[in-house]
Amino acid sequence: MSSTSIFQQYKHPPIVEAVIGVVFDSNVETETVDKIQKKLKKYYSNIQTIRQLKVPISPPLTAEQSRGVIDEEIGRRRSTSDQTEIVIVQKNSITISQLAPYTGWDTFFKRFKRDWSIIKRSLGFRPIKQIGVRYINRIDIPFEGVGVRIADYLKALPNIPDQFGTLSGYSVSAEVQMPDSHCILRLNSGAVPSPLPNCVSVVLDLDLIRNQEVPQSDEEIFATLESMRARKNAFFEATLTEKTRELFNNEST
Amino acid sequence: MNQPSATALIPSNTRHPPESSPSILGRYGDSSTFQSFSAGALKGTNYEPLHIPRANDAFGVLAQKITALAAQPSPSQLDFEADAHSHTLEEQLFEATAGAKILVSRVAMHLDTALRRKLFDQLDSLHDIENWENGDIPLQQESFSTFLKTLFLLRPTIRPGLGLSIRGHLVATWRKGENRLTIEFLPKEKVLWVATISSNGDFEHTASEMPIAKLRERLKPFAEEGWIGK
Amino acid sequence: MDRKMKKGQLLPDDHHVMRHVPWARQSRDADGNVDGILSQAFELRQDEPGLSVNWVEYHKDGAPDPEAACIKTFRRTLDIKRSAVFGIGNVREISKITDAGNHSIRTEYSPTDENSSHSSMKGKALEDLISREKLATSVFVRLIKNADVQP
Repeated sequence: MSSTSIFQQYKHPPIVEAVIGVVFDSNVETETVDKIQKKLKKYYSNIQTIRQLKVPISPPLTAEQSRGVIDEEIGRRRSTSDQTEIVIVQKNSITISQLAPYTGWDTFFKRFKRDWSIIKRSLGFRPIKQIGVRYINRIDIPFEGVGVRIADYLKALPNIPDQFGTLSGYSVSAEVQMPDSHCILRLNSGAVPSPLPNCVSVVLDLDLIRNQEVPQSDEEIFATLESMRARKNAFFEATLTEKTRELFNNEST
Repeated sequence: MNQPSATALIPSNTRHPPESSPSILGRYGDSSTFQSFSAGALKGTNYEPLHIPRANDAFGVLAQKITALAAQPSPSQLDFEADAHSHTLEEQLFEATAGAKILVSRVAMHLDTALRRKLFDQLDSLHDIENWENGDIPLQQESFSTFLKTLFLLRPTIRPGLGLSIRGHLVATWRKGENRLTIEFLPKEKVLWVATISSNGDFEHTASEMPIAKLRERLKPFAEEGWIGK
Repeated sequence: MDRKMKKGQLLPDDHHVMRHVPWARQSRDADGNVDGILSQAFELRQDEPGLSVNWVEYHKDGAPDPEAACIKTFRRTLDIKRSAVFGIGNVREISKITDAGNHSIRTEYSPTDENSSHSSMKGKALEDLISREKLATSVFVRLIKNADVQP
């Protein structure tokens, strides 16, 4: 058993984006979405509209669908000017996101609680059907021409027989049920084009979702998110090797 | 060849399938779509079949299950472009800088914080509507992506001045006395660079278009002279 | 100054032209201090037959400061931002620039209805990066800030 703490601090954590999401049982009125995003303006100066294009390709079922492409406003996105802090208010969900540089769970969670308090004042009580914590990591592995043995860095890999030869790409998707905590973990991982020169990059996306016995009170929601974060951390640490940990503690590139 | 499994499975204790957005596969890389497929067995207990599909449903069901497992776009990956009917200049300029800042966030764990902040100031200044030239194209994300990669390749210790071409390509300049190195960052990891070297009261010029992979070696003499720092 | 010049005629060698350079095409240090013009300031836009410049000496008659008058012509005919600069280049020096194929740049008179001093720099050499860099670093070296010229 690794002695590494699940709350290990790294000098250069590989977190690209951290997300906390709340999904409601029913849609919120458009006016309420608008009211919420206006109240968040103080903390997020920029605003954009998120739209969704639907293109019906099967026989049309409604008069609206038969008119062709549907361009629908589905929410508002607010962000800070440096684009590291984002909040998305949609008709059935709220998503709060932190992009790199990641400033730590305490700071991120404090922001979530602040924004949740603002949102609830406009929303009132709404039954929640799902909450989630998602961390998207990207592990950048330097290489000098020969290639990288991914198994030296990650334990969540496809099991490919050796006679297939060298992998030039891969991806893994898995879902793990955790009945004890009523959670589902979705893991997505795979090689991606690296934004850095002379590096191989691998994404490790851990999405922890709870849609059963969902807490409804603030106190329970916060406690649940904290424990989900701890579970997510445990999974994260379990996928790493010591070599990966060394990468996260090396000097900046 | 074996046919894919025709049975889709869910555990019996799942009441609601997890909320899913429209079936868009998440975008992780700069220019690629993240393709996902199931690998390995689903873990859990007490599985029961969702249904037993007919033979011609098998692939459709499998595709649905794969899509459900696939990563959904995160907030930073969601397309937030303004409605085409109201795409003002201010919105276009904002989208250009916002897109660039999100690209920077992808590598922020490797960047100095002060450098990041100054870079943002420079980008904001170039896209300030008070300075904007009609007919110019805002910063192209592919050009900025090339710039970021070049920064890591060259690791200049002297920060460059930044400009923008009419086509939305970022331009970086370094000066050393009367000498000047200018690099224009093109899409697809290519650059156009030109060096002006002062020599006995006269000027010599060298220029080339090349992939960034070759740039460090080519610019070595300038680096050794301290043009971009040590 | 001979104002009877015909459209398409070359400007006299000892005369000067002025090029408007917006903020994005100015060369600057990392702190934003302007120190010149980028070669990108001499790129042709798509479908542009030649680089637009104003003939400085056209403004000599009746104007105590032809360069300021030239800038005011720019302001009247284009949307000039406060942060703009204007580079001044000599016609002879422009014509001396050649590319590897020995193509050069000519400066010809091309007045418009709105701007009688309008002229165009034309020639295959404008497609060459080194030629554009030479224009930026050796020819259009004298700069006037728009903010320094009174309305």
